[in-house]
Amino acid sequence: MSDQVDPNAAGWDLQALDMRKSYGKVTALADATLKARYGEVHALLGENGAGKSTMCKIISGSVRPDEGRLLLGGEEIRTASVGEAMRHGIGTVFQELSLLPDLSVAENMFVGGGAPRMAAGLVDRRAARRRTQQIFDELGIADIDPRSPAGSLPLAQQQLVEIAKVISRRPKILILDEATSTLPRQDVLWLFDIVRRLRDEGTAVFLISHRLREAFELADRITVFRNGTDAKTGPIDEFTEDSLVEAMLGRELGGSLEQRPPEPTPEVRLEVRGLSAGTRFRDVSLDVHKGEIFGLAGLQGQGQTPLLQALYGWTRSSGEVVLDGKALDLRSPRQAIRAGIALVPEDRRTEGLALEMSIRDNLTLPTLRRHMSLKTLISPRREDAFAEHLARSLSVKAGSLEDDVSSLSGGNQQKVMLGKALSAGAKLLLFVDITRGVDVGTKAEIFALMRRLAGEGTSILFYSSDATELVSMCHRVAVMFDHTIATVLEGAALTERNIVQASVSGRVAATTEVAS
Amino acid sequence: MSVATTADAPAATPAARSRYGESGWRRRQTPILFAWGLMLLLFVVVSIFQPGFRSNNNIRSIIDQSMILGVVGLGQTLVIICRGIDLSVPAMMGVAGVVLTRHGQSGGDVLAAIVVIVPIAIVLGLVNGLSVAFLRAPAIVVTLATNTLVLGALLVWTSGAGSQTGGAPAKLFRTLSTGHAGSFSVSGIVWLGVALVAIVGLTATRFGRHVYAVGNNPVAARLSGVSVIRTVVSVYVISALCSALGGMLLAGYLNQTFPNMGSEYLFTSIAVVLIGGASILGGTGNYAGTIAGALTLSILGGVLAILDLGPAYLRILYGVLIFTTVGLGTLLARRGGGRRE
Amino acid sequence: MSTATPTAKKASGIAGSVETEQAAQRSPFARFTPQQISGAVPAVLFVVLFVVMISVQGQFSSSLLQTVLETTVPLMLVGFGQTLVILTRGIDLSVGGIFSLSTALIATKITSDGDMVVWIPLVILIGLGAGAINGLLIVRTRMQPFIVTLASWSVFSGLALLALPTEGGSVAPGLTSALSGSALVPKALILALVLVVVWIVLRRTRFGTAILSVGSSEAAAKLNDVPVDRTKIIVYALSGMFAALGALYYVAVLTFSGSPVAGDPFILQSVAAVVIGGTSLAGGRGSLIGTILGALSLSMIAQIVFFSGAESYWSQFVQGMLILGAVLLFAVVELVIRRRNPNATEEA
Repeated sequence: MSDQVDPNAAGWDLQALDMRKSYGKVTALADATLKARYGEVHALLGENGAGKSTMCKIISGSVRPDEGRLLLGGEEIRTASVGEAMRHGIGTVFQELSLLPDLSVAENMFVGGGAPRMAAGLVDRRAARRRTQQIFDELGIADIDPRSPAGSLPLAQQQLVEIAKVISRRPKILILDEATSTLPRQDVLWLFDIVRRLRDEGTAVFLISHRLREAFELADRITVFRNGTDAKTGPIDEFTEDSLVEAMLGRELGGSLEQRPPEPTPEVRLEVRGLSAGTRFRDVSLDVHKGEIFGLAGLQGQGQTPLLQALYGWTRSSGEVVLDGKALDLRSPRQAIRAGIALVPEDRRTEGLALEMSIRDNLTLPTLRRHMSLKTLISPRREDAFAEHLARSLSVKAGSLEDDVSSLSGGNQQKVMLGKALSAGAKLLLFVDITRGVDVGTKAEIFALMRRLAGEGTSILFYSSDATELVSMCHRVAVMFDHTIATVLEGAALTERNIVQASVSGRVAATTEVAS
Repeated sequence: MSVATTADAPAATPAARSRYGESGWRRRQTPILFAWGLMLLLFVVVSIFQPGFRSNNNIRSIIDQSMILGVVGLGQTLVIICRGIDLSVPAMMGVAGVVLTRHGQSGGDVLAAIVVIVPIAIVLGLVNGLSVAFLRAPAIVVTLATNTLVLGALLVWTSGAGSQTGGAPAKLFRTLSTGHAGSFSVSGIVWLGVALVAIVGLTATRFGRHVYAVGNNPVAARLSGVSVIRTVVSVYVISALCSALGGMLLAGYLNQTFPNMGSEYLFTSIAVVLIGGASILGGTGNYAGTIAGALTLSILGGVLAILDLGPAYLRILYGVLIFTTVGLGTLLARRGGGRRE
Repeated sequence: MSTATPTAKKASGIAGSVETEQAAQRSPFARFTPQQISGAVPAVLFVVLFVVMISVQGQFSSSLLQTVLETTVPLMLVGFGQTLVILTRGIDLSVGGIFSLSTALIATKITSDGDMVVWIPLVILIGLGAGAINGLLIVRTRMQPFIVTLASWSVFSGLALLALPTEGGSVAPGLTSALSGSALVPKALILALVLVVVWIVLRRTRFGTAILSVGSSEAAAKLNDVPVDRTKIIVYALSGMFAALGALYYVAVLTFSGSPVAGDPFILQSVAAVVIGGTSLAGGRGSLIGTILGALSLSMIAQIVFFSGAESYWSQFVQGMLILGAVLLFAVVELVIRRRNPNATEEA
């Protein structure tokens, strides 16, 4: 955007100019520009949904932009598919991984082409296995059998295979989209060694990571994304950890005018002791008071969602869960509902709503038993009255409650999900990042509702990927790092800066001043 | 329309109307109304060219012919709404029909036959339902296997032989399927009863709501406290019971039974549900649509008989009918709005 | 600019202590991959049934082998196409209709040796085209394969009835002698081996990998530059072609006359052979060799029942048991595997 002053302005090898992309009403990229040079590692930073991933997907050919130009060495190119991008020398390690779970590791290495072939043009499997092993050996990957199906490997190993697959094609431009998120530290260091080697050989590398430290360890240049644009860009030495956090948060830093929720009672509602679920989260202990809004923060994939799912009987876990003094054995959502717990899931479309059923049917599904006449038939009058009451108290904007829930806007769908969760009068609410992708107005309504509920004594466990929200809404916030609770912030320590800091490093740096 | 009218369109084109203005009720009823409209249109057109077609007798025979399909199609409707498929329909029909007439021949009464048939249906439904819901085996293969198995057992038991008329029980079902009281057909009354129970059951009971919820989104249903396994198993049990009833009615209608008597229904029971507007992906559909589908198929059969066209054309028309109704449905659904929010 | 900043170096070592956790390996299936299990089941089944068949008959004769092979060839061929389709996570119910149509055409058009030159390629092309129509409809209209092929089965079998209203017709003797072999040279065995070879070759082509990729994960296939739509269309076209080939053999070697409904049993049987053969209906996993073993198992059951003197109806019952047993076994295997999958997220 503002590179006229850069002496090397003409020397960019890859330029993605004025990219726009929206999905329906959600704008993922609003006029973003990204430039890179061979022999440089370029880190892209930003909060969830800031647009960095979309930008990379456009460059890699898996997403088509609505507008914008892509220049490689000054010439405009099209990357309408991953294959075309590959032919231009662009290789991508995808966040969601592109491995085919049923194919062997060796086959996966060569799905896109380049498999060793025999005279008849057929894939030479033995040679493919040998090549794979050779690539692994060169890269220093141990203990992965090229014959085993990719889907049977632990996630971290799959990530290594994906990385090896892309690197083995010797891309001129390498995109690492959250390639380190599932890797243990020693593997991250391994990867960085390789990346440095590639850079020194003249490869341009894009590194998307949520971990600031990784950017400082590796990057030569940083671009910070915010709200779908490139908010700030420059060489690494222009940034400090603080200035990065500031750039990521934008001007929103500082206390918002939100009204704070009423103080909770000292009574403990939920006690969790040593709760673990495999690799997803481990040894989590926390207390939530009656009327408390307890926040959960952290980078994506640190176990926040599985933790809430476990408390709803949706994910198997081991450990102690006590609600209002009663130990719970949560094996299914039904049991959780009966115990007085309700969950609003993360994904409306796949988890929250029956999209092709009416708004009313969705709202009353958990409480049908209460709207019966003669014990067998649903009383339309009672059901409608109940649904209308719920819809009105949440001010769901709909033509008619008979309409499909899919016809509602995202924010209103979110309210229907909330209505479902509230309908049974739960004592403990579990919110899984429910404000993501929701417009400001609806957000405010949801927050007002949360404050009211808390005032009435309902306890809320609130996971949000938005630190600002957590600070303004929560009494306490637990930051998850490395699949467990790293720290619990409250009082003066509960600041955005500290949340972001703890999310990326697992601790609150002593040097950082509490600024609020 | 969207392309052509940019220049001369009035200032306030209600562009968003199609998505937000459309009543959900109407969207859900459209495929069903479409099925009924198609059926009535077919009937009216044929009646114009062939006045005998709308005679009382002919209408009654159309109803007689489609009622059995309607009963069997009820079970299939529930299963399909619940994201499944039941290919074990023919075997269950055969068992029910053959057991009924065999009992009749040896002097037994209806009750004795039903006491044998109902438990078989329940077991079949349980095996189908538990395999699908609990073990998550693919419904197509499970029900195909149980169909082969049960039909095989029936063939072994009967040595492949059928039986002609089977005494009192068969007579009762003959009355139920072809008799008439005055100008009312008994089958029509029976069907009306079944339909009423089915429609009320699907729209106004907890179970019905759960069927739709599970078919629409099993995860959301489970998170709302619905027991997915119980719902799916029930649906397969009901389907087996419907097939059993259909088999007994068919025994009465044909006045004879043989193990393979239900084989046609493998295809037609699915066809009527699809023509009736249900999606094979589950979650939508209604028994009213299935009724229209069943009537359409027998009217179509009647038309071809009038035109003296053989079963070849019937099959081709069945296929075309499925293509057009389902194709139109998918088209409408896709126009109904982008999948992303 | 050259290497990482020293401050970052100092910071390293705080985070990394998550060991790569291996799956808990306690279940009896733990040592085997799903591929191995779905490969072993049909093989074991085949051997067991083969031994039973020979012991029931009391002796092994090459004519028995020939009978079994010859009666299985049509199902092997149809099953080949069905396997390809199911590997892409689809299903082809129209094979019954295409088979019937081909049978009808063969029995009415290829009645003398002179007809063969034109009509054999034509029948195969019609099968290919019919299948391609399925594929195009599935890809373009996004209707479910189940519905598309159910409807087109109805249409094709109607066309079969038009071509040949009742059973009858005949087949050119030249075709019969070309396809049926003596006990000494069992052409059916050669055919089966050819199929196996075709599969092994196919498996090693880009197209073979594309089939498995599409079935394994369409989204990931796209990210790997696999032509998803084209692969699907070709697969359905091949399925139609193999149904036509199956009909050709069926009329020429087994029935010598046509039937307009000859194909119908092959719908369910081909799916059954594929499932017993260990190919997953969820796509991406399986092999044609399993399907061939599955098809052979199904016809050996008929032979065993025949030789044991029991009524032939028993074979249908036993086949049903076999299919149910196989699908439930594979379902349990899937469940166990999913449960011990380290990356699995809980679902409904």
